[in-house]
Amino acid sequence: MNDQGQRTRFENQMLPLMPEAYNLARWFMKNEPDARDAVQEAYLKAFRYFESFQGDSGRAWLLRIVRNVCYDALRAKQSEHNIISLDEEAAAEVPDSKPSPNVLAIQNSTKLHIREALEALPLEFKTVIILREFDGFSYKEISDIVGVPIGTVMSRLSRARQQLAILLQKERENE
Amino acid sequence: MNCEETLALLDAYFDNELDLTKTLAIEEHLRDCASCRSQYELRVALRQRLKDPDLRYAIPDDFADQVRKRLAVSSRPATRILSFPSAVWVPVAIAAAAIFGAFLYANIQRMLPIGPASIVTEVASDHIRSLIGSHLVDVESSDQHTVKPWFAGKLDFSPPVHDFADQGFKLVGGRLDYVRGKNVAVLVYRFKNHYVSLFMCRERNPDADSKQKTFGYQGYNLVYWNANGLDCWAVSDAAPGALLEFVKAQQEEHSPQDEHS
Repeated sequence: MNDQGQRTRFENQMLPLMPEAYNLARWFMKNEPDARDAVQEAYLKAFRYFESFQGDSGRAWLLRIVRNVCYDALRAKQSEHNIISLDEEAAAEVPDSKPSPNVLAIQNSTKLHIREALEALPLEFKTVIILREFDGFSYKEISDIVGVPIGTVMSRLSRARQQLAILLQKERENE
Repeated sequence: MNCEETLALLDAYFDNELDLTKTLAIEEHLRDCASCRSQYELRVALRQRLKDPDLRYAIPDDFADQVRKRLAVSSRPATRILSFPSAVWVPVAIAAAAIFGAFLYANIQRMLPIGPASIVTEVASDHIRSLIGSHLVDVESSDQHTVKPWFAGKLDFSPPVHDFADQGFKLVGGRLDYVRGKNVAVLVYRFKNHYVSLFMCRERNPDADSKQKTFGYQGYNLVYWNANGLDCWAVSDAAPGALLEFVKAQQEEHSPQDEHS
């Protein structure tokens, strides 16, 4: 295939996936500029290696690259200030990432709670929840994207849901 | 199906990942068991909540254009160069996996208090889960010379692999699994109508009591032993006598000379 044909094929197949790619990166990176950088880098990488893509799921292939770029970036960030570990960082940054919540909290407390709970999950758990619940990937696809066995996907999902379910239960008790 | 088995497979059921037989068995259990049903309902409620479009981050207006422009000025390397990414990626992936594994280990350790699962229940649950049609084995072969090399590079040890078809335990294949935050080798054997999973990992604590022990868990039998620096667990719903024969066959093959072959 000539270069122009390859470019057109890439654009047709990969550019429509950008909303999903951005959402994933935005959840990982926790701010817009870092998410933009990650998605752009992932697309450039995907474009460079597009010829090696032979699977049938372009979505899974692209999101695997996005996920890897984000993990690399988070790891690099972490070694810059190597005091905090990835998941402590996730927990510590929650309060900064939302506007003063008082008014919103009254209007829609449950919405905020679920977002906070999801943000506070350890990275690996957050990853499987997003890929499963937001993007609807099968266990096999998640296993390919994340690079762990299917059984691990299932146990991570199970534990992530247990954590989130604790929150829902508490809410119900307070109602 | 009892509560433990149901809870081990509940997420797979909820995500439509089970075969028909297991699905029906779980549905039957959920009809009769209010406690498991409430676990299921929590998942339904959670999924409902996560459907909220406000939880998705919308792509900034100018961003798609920006990426398109950036791509337009980027040229792909020549095909010849394209052939090297895999060589570049392998060490990167291995390094990433190692670092990631370390994080994961820390996280999983921290998560443990949520489920008071002992290693016995964890190994048994992994065995039960593997019986979901789709992930019994990663490499399917009755040839030990196919199965053993498959593990190379995936673990920090090379598991001994033997077929015992002549004693009734036919090697089905192997898979990689995850126990207590560590990758473990699992060999799967078939004995009559039963599957036997043999879990192996490098021993965690060299001073630990390495005597053979047997456990029963929800109709499954487990045998633990330690051989040549490996912690071994055999799990099956086969009769205890048969499982002990399997263990004996394994132990006789696990001679130190063989270990280094």
